[in-house]
Parts: sequence; C-alpha cells; structure tokens
Amino acid sequence: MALGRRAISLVDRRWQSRLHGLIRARVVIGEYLAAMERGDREAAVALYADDVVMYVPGRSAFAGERRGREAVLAYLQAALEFAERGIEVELVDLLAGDGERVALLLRERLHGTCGELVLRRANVYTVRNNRIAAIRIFEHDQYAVDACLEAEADGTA
Amino acid sequence: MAPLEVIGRYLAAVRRGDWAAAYGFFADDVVWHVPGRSALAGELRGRDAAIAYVEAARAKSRGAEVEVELIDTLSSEERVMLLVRERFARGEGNVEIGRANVYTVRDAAIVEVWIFEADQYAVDELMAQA
Repeated sequence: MALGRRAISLVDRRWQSRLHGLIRARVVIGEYLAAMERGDREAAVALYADDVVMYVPGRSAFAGERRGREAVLAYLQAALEFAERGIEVELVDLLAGDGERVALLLRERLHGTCGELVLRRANVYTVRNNRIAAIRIFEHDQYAVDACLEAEADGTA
Repeated sequence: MAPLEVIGRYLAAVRRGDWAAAYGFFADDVVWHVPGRSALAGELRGRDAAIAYVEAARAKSRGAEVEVELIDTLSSEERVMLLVRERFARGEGNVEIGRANVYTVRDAAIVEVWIFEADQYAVDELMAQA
C-alpha cells in the first residue's frame, strides 16, 4: 500500500512538474507579449536568458543567428524602428505543447514602405528556467520579407 | 475529436503508409498554403488539389534519402503545429530543412494548412534539383 502511494506520488510529481513547465512557458510568453504590447521594452528584454539565441531566416541584413541578450535587443530595436514606419501585427493564435516551446502565429500588415503587404510568420519560443532561451522565426513569405528589408536598407522603398 | 487527436491519427496513417486514410482527414474544401517559388508553391484549394500537392511532393522525394524528425507538437483550440526537421542526403552532403506546419482542424477534418520555412531558399533549391 505504502509502495502504491509512493508510486502515485512520484507520478503526480512528474505530472506536476510537466504541467508546471507548460504553464510557466505560457505564462512567460504571456508576460512577454503584454510587455511588448504596452511598449515596455525593458520588461520584455528582462525575460530573455543571458545566452538567448535568435534565429532569423532569409538573406536580408537582418538574417542570421544572434547570440546573447544584447544581440537580440539590437535586432528587436531595428525591427521596432522598422515597425514604427507602418506595420500592424496581429496575433492569430498561440500554440503550446507539453514541453518548453510556445509558438505565436502572426499576421503582419505592412503599409507604405514596400507597398501593401500581408505577411505570415510563426515565431517559436523555447522557455527554460522562466526565461526565453531561444527564438526561431519561420517565414511563409520569405522573398517578400527580404525584398522589403533590402529596399528599406537601401533607402529605395 | 480534438485537433491534437485528429492530427495524431493523420500522422499515424502517414507513418504506416496508409495514404487513403490520411487523405480522408482532408475536408472537401481544405486549403494548403505552400510557400516559395517552386512549381509546387501557391494556394491549393480543395481536397483534390491538396492530394495532388502531397503526391507531387512524395514523388519528388522518392528515391532520395529523406529523414523526417518530429521535433515538437504544439496546439491550440483549433490548430496543431508540427515542428519538423528534414534531412536530405545529397552528393555534396546533407541538407537540413526546418519547417513548421500548421493544421487548422474543424469538425474532425483538416480545413487549412500553412507551411512556414526556416530556410525558404534551401527548400526552393532542393525542389529545383529534385
């Protein structure tokens, strides 16, 4: 009987830990989104791990692997400056699993600089120890994104 | 049936090579959004178009050494994302493709599929070579 109770307790603890991880990943990304929405860049960046890694796809000047909070912050600042010139970001959905990843499905509407464009993107966040440890961007319209960023960098848009 | 269960059954059918059962999960008016500039890219409407796309993609990888690894499965109330890594054995070495496939499920059927790429250029180069 005692063994049975111990086994159940171990299973419970394993589930609790898994559930806790799942809830934490969602909570961390929820906090991150809330910070971004209210423009609190400091609070958003505080949620990055010191050694966060961001993978930006494509062949634009923005593309590549960025390592560390400062490098990710630099990307974020450039992206936000770009966004201020006319991008509406709509959160289509938030997807989570029973592990450490949370995905945001985004629809971005660009006005002006590159004409009128609607871009779709999936950002996948890996959360460890209550911090964002990795961000992977997956594009649906890579060529349009790169053309737009290139035009922006050249000042030809 | 929850979206996660539907996609679980769809994947099980794909894994055992039962394509008729897998295609049975597509809604009549399913829409696939395939990115890139390959001949397979575009918006594919209806079950027949979706099946033609999957068959063409299978034909392209037939005879090639392709290893598909499911990295993670994420879900919401009506969507499931499969994070996959595909390794293509090529003469000059392996090419690795990261991809996020997002399935929208309604009434136990797949009604929409969006494909998001980690390296669209590599995918299109592969498609051109195949």
